[in-house]
This record gives sequence, C-alpha cells and structure tokens, in this order.
Amino acid sequence: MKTPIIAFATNVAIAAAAITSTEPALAVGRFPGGIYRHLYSSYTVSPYEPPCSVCHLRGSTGSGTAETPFALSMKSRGMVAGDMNSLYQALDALDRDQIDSDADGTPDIQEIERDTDPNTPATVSLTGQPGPNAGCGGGQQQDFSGGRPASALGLLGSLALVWARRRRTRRRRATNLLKAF
Amino acid sequence: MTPYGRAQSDLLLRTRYSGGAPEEADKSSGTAWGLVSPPDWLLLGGQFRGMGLLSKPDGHSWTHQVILMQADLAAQVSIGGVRASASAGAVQSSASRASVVGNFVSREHWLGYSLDDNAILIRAGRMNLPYGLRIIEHTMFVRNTTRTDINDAQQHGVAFAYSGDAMRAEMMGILGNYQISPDAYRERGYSAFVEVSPFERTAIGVSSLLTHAKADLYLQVPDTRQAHGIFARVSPWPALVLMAEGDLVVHAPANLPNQVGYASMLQADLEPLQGVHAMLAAESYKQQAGVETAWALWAGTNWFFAPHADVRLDLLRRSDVAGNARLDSTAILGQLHVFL
Repeated sequence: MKTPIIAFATNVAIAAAAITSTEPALAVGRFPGGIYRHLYSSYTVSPYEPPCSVCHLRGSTGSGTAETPFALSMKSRGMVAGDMNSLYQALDALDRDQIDSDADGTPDIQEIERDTDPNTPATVSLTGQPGPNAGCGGGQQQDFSGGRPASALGLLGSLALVWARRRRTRRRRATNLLKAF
Repeated sequence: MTPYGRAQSDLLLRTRYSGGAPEEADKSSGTAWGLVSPPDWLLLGGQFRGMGLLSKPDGHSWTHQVILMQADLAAQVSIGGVRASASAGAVQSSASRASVVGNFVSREHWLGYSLDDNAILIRAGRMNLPYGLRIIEHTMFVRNTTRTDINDAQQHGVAFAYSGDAMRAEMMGILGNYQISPDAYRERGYSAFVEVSPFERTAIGVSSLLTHAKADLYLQVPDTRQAHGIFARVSPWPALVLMAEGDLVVHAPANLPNQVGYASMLQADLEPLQGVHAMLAAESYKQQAGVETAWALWAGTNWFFAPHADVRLDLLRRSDVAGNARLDSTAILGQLHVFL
C-alpha cells in the first residue's frame, strides 16, 4: 500500500504532467477524427486519423495555432473552430476546388488520402514523420539523430518519486532505531 | 532596461496630462514603478502583453480569442565587463519555439563580455537574431517569413555586436534553437546586419541570413534558407517616423525546386500628442513564382497612457495565400502592455 507521501508525490507528478505536458492535446472538436470519418471511403492507403500537425504548428492545439497552409485553405473554405459541419463542408470544398496548399501539383484531399503531408511539396508521410517538438525535453517522438527520448517533466516526476521513497526509507530507519531502544 | 532607458521612456514616451515637459524623469520610471531599487550591477524587468482578437474571414462570422502573448520576468547582472542576462515566463501556447517545458518559456539567456565602454558586446546563448527592423509585430511578413521575430524566433549561438554613434552592427553564428527537437530541425548558419546613420534622424541598414537544417520546420526535408534585405528608419520631422524593409527570401529544399520570393513592409507612425500614436502599415509577401502575392493593411493607434503601460488597437485587413487558396479576412486586435 502506498504511504500518503508517495501517493501525494505521485499525484503531484501526474498533475504536473497533465498541466505542462508538451504532448499535443486533442484538436478542436476532434477534427482529426472528423477528417478520418469524412474521407474514410476514399483513402488509397489504409485509413488513418491525421495528426493535429496537419493544421496546428508543431502539433500544438493551443489558441491561434491552426496556421499551417492546409489550415489556412480550410479556413478559406469556411472551417471554423468547434463546428464539425464546417469541417465537412470545407473538406468537400477543397476537393471540389482542387485546392493545393503546398503548390506541389497534388491537391490537398488527394494528399491526405495517400498519407502525404499537404503542407509541404516534399513527399513525406503525414503519420510517419517525427514532427518537431517544442521544449527542452524533446517529447517522446522519434529522433532523426538519436536525441533525448525523455521529457524534462518525466525527469521531474521521477525525481519526485525518488525523493518520496528516500523520505519513506528514512522514516522506516528512524522507526526501527526507536524500536531498537 | 537601463536607468537611462527608463528615464527616456518616462520623458519622451508617455502622455503628460498637466504641466510642461519635466526636466527629470519621474520616480515612477524606476523598476516596478520605483518600488524596487536594485543595485547598480543588477537590472530587473518584466513584460506583460495580452491581446483580445476579433477575426472574420470573408463570408463567415466573427470569432474571438483572448491570447496571453507574454508574461516574462528578466534580469541582467553586470560585474566589470561580464554580462549575464536571462528571461523566463509563460505563454498560452505550449508549442512556442521558446518553450522550455510546456507553456514555460525562456526567450533569451546569454552570457557576454562588454568592451570599449559598452561599444562592443560579445555574447553566447539564446538571443534575438540580428536581422532587419526590430519590431514587435511578429506576424508581419518581413519578420514571419525570415523567421527573425523577437517573439520566439531567437536561436542559440555566438554574437559580436558593435554600437557606435553613426553605425551599429551585429553578426551571430547560429548554432540552432536548442529549445526545439529533434536536432534535425535546428538551423546552423549566420545572421547579421549593419546599420548606418548618414544624416540626423535617418538610419539605413542591410541584413543577411543563411542557415541549413537537416529538416526544415515547415518543409520537413533538408533545406538551406537565405534572406537578404535592406531596411530604413527615417523621421522627416519629429512627430513622424517612417520604417521600411524589403527582403529576398529563398529556400533551397533537397530534391525540390528552389523557392525564391520576397517580403516587404512600409509603416508610418505619427505622434500628434506625446504618447499617442497613429499608425498605418502595408506589407506583402510572395513565396515563389507562380503563387499569388499575400498582402495586409494595418491601421492602428497606440497610447502610452500611464507610466509603464500602453494600450493598442489595430484594424487589420489581410489576404493570405496557401498554394492556390486565398484567405481574405478582417481582424481587430486590442492589446494591453505593461512593463515593470
């Protein structure tokens, strides 16, 4: 059974992770799932849910971060935050107007159906690329060159647990010492 | 900000509601409105910048956002010629290029040595890139497309700066932004500017930047990025300041055609009453041949209504381009800025 102090330290670590995590949160109204559902039948690769980074810079879903070329095109066709119908209508309009946000000759909807990024003329996978991470910790994503896999937050959480364990060990030692006398 | 800078801010920047122009700065110009008196070797400061944004793409309804852009504390220690400076704070986005962990940011932190009565400063750390006009409008095309804004585009590196009466210059060797990862996204290269003041109230400068990254933040492939430009600050009479900048912006991504484009801006700032500014600006950006030109028009006012505080209101008409899509929109921006 956990001692109160370990439970407290664990809760603090989990709460801190929830507050300051650099992992992307869910995009507005689960738009990635909406793209998946709307385009499901026309995928030319195994259907997948696009990552938040298709619209949000560096995968952050914070306010004002839907600034990628694809997001700009979607907004030009009426997509507004929190409105799933506007997402569907914008996807249809992009398909109808053959919008090509990265000017590489392949329309955006075709790029998503093929799992290529509509934000770059390079042929890179939307789902397979290790997107850039903000923050010194580096997140959990794959590194091109063997970078740090652990986040600073994980390190802080681990330190909190180690500190709590050492406190518990010291308490036990003190109790045993008292018993010995 | 140094005591001299604080005094100039108080004497020249803010509105005076009664009496003539004072000869000495008010005590409230000091750190935290004069409530704190740090020793000579320590400079303390802080910045808060919050914004309310109303925006409306053509044909659609208005949306609104409240954005915490800056809530930073900063300190600089000077011991002899040694300088150590750092800022730390919080922003709303967890994906800032200045993020240390999540929403916690450090835009600048550097160690330096000052020579020749502060005319020369050699620094190492995370710093603003020396390029073009140092303006707060970080979304302007000249700052955004050259990635040289003072919001969160700082990078780690080593810099040499010279500041004389008629010339100032800085050159920075860029080692990359160590607050993004993986390493492939870090750019290495240089950024530099030289600005001369051939006449009173006139300054003209040139800038140059060249970097390479194994994976460009946006293109996702190896990219050599260049920006070269000219800029000017002219004040034909004391109440009017004109600022202009033009930059060639080049990307050479691996196995893809080069992108050769440009960004430009012109801003007029009129101060009819001390502390009250009326501003007009126009800007444009062309990413590459075959892609339409994006543009924006700004009309705004900025009022330095109290010591350490100003409010700003902008009306922005903007036409963005992504490939063959164009997004025309109107925005109203209200900002409150307070510094300690």
